[in-house]
Amino acid sequence: MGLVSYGTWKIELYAGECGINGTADGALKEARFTFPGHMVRDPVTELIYLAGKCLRKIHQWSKRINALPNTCLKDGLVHTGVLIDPTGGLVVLQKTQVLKYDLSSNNATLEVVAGNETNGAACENCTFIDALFDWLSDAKYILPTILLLVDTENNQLRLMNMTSEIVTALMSVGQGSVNDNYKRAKLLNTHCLTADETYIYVGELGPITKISYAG
Amino acid sequence: MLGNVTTLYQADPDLANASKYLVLKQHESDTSLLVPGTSSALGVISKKTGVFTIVAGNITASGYKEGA
Repeated sequence: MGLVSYGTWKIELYAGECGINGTADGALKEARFTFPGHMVRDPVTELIYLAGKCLRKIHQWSKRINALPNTCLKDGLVHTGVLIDPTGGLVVLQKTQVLKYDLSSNNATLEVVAGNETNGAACENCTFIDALFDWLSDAKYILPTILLLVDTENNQLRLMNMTSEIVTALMSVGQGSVNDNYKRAKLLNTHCLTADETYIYVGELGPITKISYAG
Repeated sequence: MLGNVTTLYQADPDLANASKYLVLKQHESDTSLLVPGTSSALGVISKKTGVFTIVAGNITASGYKEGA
């Protein structure tokens, strides 16, 4: 796990040790990682949360790295994303499920919000209970109650409305050209995204596309 | 309101597999996208021009090495 200094772009080893895998907690370089996935930094607490086999918390000042209680998954499952929930706590992606974790409770567990441990195809206007996903790679709140998901194996961008608790497809993929109206545009191997006030940026196998969604 | 989909950046075909592991983050400047995962390099993509610039590492050589 490297530390990148902006401006100078200097890269230093921050935590773990090069070439040594593992899952151990500990102070920065004592900790071990195995293919860590997404990270998110809470600007209020200045803690960094890291998705992987367990959800882990990095204290930037105490330099301790610890697994959060009750977040380590059974074999074969892995957290594929983590982000700050606008209502508090964390939203966690686990390949086929969207979960929440309450950071204010000492006895918190991962609560299923949508999907289950079985992968499945996208469906239109599914309730949270009925929705199925197939490898959730990334997510971002584009509005306080609208979570945009990258459903990679379904090659789909999907929207979770946290108020109505309905999952919809953002766009019909694969029927038009690469550069097209969003209703016809073709996406391939979508796997990551970010967004600003005007565009959603999507990483695919090869290109990065942008989808205008504001104005 | 959703509008058009356009290609911002097209990876070199030889790097297509490497770019599968792109992870996009908003850069602090808000004028570019940070791409920490392009093979073994760290890059930024200009949101205005789509130009991809490597800022650290080497896109074809992996390894462990700290430095500026």
